[in-house]
Order: sequence, then structure tokens, then C-alpha cells
Amino acid sequence: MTSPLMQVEDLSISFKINDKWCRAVNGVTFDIMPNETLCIVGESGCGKSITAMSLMKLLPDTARLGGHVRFGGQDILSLKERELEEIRGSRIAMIFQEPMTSLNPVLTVGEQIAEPLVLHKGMGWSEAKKEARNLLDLVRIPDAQKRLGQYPHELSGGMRQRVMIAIGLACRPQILIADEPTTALDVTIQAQVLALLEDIRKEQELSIVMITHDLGVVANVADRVAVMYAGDVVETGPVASIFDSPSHPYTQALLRTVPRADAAFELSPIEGQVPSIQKMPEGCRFAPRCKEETSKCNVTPKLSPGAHSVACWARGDIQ
Amino acid sequence: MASYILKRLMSTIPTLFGILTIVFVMIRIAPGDPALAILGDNASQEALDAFRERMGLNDPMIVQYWDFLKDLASGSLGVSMVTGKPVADSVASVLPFTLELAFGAIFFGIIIGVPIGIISAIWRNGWLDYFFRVVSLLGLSFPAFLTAILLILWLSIEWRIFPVISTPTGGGLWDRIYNLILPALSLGIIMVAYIMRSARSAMLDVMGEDYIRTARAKGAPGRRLIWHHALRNALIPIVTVVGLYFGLLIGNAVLTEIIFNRPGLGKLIVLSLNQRDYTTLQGLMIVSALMIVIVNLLTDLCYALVDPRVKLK
Ligand SMILES: Nc1ncnc2c1ncn2[C@@H]1O[C@H](COP(=O)(O)OP(=O)(O)OP(=O)(O)O)[C@@H](O)[C@H]1O
Ligand SMILES: [Mg+2]
Repeated sequence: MTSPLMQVEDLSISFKINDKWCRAVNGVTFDIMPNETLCIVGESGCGKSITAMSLMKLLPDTARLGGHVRFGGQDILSLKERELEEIRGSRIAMIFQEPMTSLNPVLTVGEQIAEPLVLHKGMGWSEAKKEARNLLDLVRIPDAQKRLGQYPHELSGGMRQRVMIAIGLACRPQILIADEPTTALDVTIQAQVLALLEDIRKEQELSIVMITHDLGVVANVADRVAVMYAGDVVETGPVASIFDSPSHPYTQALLRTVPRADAAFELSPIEGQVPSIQKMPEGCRFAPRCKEETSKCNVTPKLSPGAHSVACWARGDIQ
Repeated sequence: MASYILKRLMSTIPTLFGILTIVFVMIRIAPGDPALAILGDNASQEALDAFRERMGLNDPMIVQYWDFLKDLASGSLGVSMVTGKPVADSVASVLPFTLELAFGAIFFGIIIGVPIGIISAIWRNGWLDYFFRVVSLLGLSFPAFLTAILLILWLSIEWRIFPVISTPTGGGLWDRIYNLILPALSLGIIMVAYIMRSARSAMLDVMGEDYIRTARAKGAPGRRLIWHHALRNALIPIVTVVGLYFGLLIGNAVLTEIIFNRPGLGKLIVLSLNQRDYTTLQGLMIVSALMIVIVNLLTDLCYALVDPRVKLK
């Protein structure tokens, strides 16, 4: 059996709000395997982005982190800023939701792509710019030479996200974290960007952590899925298994929100809202919105063991 | 580029025209009689009449205005009512002093204001930040003449580093700079306060932007984040502030020149006011307005320099 590239163990994230520590992420555990796409899916405000950012300890100082993020024999969360700088952009890279604001408006595309190469690979700027040209080819941006000298405002949204991907891939990282990389793009561009990421992953021995709230994206690209609700991973497993036999009431409810050709059920939204981190319910955080709430639900359920695991008192061990 | 500058200058002609019309009228409706001011109380009635006739002061205002515009159109600022010398010459002889004072003040404002603004932003709410913010508040609330006098007392009289009277004696470049430092510093202190505040808030804004997070995710170290990724963007609002307060600076330069007894537009303005030298005053106002116009133009050119999204057209 291959061993995981990264192990996230009992990761918790708290923010101080009005002098009270609020746990936004409540001890999540998952592995990232080599050469796979792991999708983290959940509604808005479930803690997907902050989970993703803690994988390279990118959160502001105001966040308090607990647990471990094990990678390459080290615990990312206990590394110093200097050591993190060496890993960021070289072994773990990240691309963000908003291609419009994520690129520096006053620096050329070429400089922004070349920067990680200069920072991590010891290249000079001219050598790095040549490599940047190849990266633009890799992300299928035509006219690469011309684009190098352009500024972000001269590119379209889809083009900018490709530039972000080129920046992310520059140093051939082992893990690429993509936080809703296609949410801000229109549908046809979305599909192109996702296809590009998939192709690159296959070519380059890369693991992708894809954050999304779009189950269509999950169905397209995921190998494995982790479903997050209000700071907990409530269900995780191989994509086919999650789609075919969703177990957690939240996962089932999520799946009922998307139209499917083979749907045996009617389309319906999930009632209620994700609780704010200041007012998290005790025990299972989904209980107040759950139709199958039991008397045990005031205690936090643990994920069951196995490849497809679920944290719900109303379910036995499904394996 | 050149055509852009030309277009910009042309487009300011209506504004300049408005300004000089207002100046022309205001000088003439203000109390005081140039003939009396120049010839003195003891001058005979004939002498006064002859003077007024010679200077065209007996003509209706509209005729005077027409003559003034005719002169201007031929590129002449006219001759001084007092000395009879061309106004352009006397303005040109003092203009460099005011310009060097203004640019010296801007220079101090930038080299002191920008770094402490950045430091304040980096250590936001730390003791250094509080210290700089209090000092800048003091700098803003002190009248310019007071800081000037304090600087003289302290640096010139107590420590004897700089001269009390900053009139260049014509001893070459170093003498010129030496006599400039203290007045420029005193005028620059207001700029330091303004620039520091705008640099601080611009840096704070920029440091929260998504592209700074991107740069961190690339592994860029803190220094590079601040001096390369953030500062370049923060310069855009800083340029605005510098351009905006340049006008204020020219106004304050008048006071500074008088306190330090420096030649310059300020002293000339006061002298011409006292003598009711209409023509010289008009010339001075035109030159001052022109300076503001040029500064605005320079500001826009600076925008294009620091922000690739700005296109000059
Ligand atoms: N710096 C912060 N200070 C305080 N609270 C924060 C901070 N960052 C995030 N949060 C809170 O943590 C929770 C999770 O935020 P996160 O951005 O991870 O959600 P998300 O699942 O990515 O949602 P979306 O789909 O909208 O991006 C939210 O309730 C948010 O308000
Ligand atoms: Mg998010």
C-alpha cells in the first residue's frame, strides 16, 4: 500500500471573536495520497478555505491552530516562518478563487511566474523568464512570449487563472491546493480549466486538493472526497462510493441539491443555514438541520474506520 | 507622450484664464491706491495724476483688462509699476529659490514619511506605530511658522548646525544646499505627516489584498512582500497625496521664506502687496497657478509610471 503524501491529523482552527475563542475547524483528519485528486466539498462557510490554507500554514497570526499536518517527515504546523517559506511555492503550491485579485496588478505576468523559480530554484531572472515561457505553454496560453510582458489587467479571467496555475506549477510541487479555482469563471472556461488541471496531474505526478462547493466539479475530477460541514469532516471516501451510497444525512442532502440524470429523488435545497462559528451547536453540528436526529447527537460523533467513513450516530460502521 | 502633455497643457488654458481674471479683478477692488503707495503720502496731486495716467489706472477696468490680455497674448507679463522692470525678470530671478524649497520639502516628506508610514503599518498598534502616529498628529496641528521657529531655535541657535538666515550667499552648490536644508525640513514636516499617514493606510490596505496572499503562497519572504509586492501598489495612493498637498506646500512656502528670510515668490508677493504693485502681483499669480497645473500634470505622469493600468490619453 502506498503511504500518504500528507497526513492531516485532528486539525483545529480557532479565531478570537469578541475575546472568545471560536473553533471554526473542529479537529479534522484526512490523508492526501500521491497522484490523486482529493475534493473537499461543503457549503459556504464550512471552513474549507481555512483548512486548505493551514496545509501550508498560510492563515493570519490571529488564527490559533491545533493538531498536525505531517508532510515529508515534518509537521508543517510547528515549522518556523523561514522553513515554511522554503516549502511554500516549491513543494506545496496554492491557487485561489479570485483570479482577478490574486495576481499583482503592477508586476508583469512573466515576473510573477518566474518569481518562485528565482526564490526556490536559484535561477537568475532571465533563465526563470525562459522557463516561465514554457510554463505558459504548459497551461496552454497562446502567444506565450507576448503574454510574459503583459500585466494581469490585459488578460481575461480564464487566462489569469491559467497564469495562477502556471505560478503554482513552476517549481513542480508535490501538492497543488486549488481553492475553488473555477468558481469565478463562466461555465465553458470552468470546464477547460478543470480539464487542464486533470491533464497536468496525470502528466506530472502531482496531488491536487480541490476545494469546491460544486458537486459537478467533484464528479468530474475527484478520486476521493471529504465532505465538510461546519468545521467537521462528516464523510470521506472514494468518489464513486460517495455518489452511489452517500451515508451521512448531510451528504445525502447535498446530493439532492444537484440535478442528476439517474436521480431517484426530487431536487431539494437543504433547509436552514451553516451555523456561524460564534454559535456552534454542541455535539454533532449538523443535528439542528438533520431529519434523523437521535438522542445521541448531543455528543460529537467520530469518523468510522475504513476507506469510506462517516461520522453519524444514525449510521453503523458501513464497511 | 509629448502629445499627451501638450493636450493636457492646452486643456488647462480655460482654468488659467478664469484664475487670472479673478486675480485681476480682486487686486483692483481691494482697498489701497498704487499711486499713493508708490509715490508716498506727500506726493503732489499732479504727480499722482501723472502716475495714474501713465499706468493706465484711469481707464475703465475693462480697458485695463483688455490691455493686460493683449500683453499676455504676446507672451509678456508686463512691467512692474514700481521698478519699471519686466515682471517676468523679477519672477524668474526668485522662482528657482521657491522651486528648490518646494521640491526639497517634498523630498524630505517622502524620504521620512514613506519609511515611517511603512514601519507603522508593519507593526500596527505596536508602540512604534503609536509613537509615529502621535508625532504626525502633532506635526499636522502645529502651524508651519511655529515648527520653523522651533527648528531655528534648536538647530541654528542652540546647536549652530544651520544658519539662522537662510539667504544663499552665492558660494556655489553646497552653500545653496546648506541654506536650503533647514527651510525645506521645516516646510517638509507637514508633508512628512501627510505622507506618513497615507503611506500607513495604503500599506495596510495593500497588505490585506489577495495578491499579497498569493506572494506568500509562493514562499516570498517578508521583506520581499513589503518592499516589492506591497510598496509598488501602495505608491499609487501616495502619489495622489503628494500631488494634492503640493498646492498647500506652495502656500506654506511663502511663510517659510519670510521666516527664514529667503528670496523667493513669497517675499516678492508680500513686497508687491505692500506696494500695490498690480502688474507684479498678476504675474506672480499666473506663475503660481501655472506651477499647480504643472504639478498636477507631473502627478498624472507619475501614475502612469507606477501603475501599468493607467494609460495616458
Ligand atoms: N480571519 C478570520 N477571522 C475570523 N473568522 C474567520 C476568519 N477566516 C475565516 N473565518 C470564519 O471561518 C469560517 C470558515 O471560513 P472559510 O473561508 O474556510 O469558509 P469556506 O468553506 O471556504 O466558504 P466559502 O465557500 O464561502 O469560501 C467562516 O465562518 C468564517 O467566518
Ligand atoms: Mg472559501
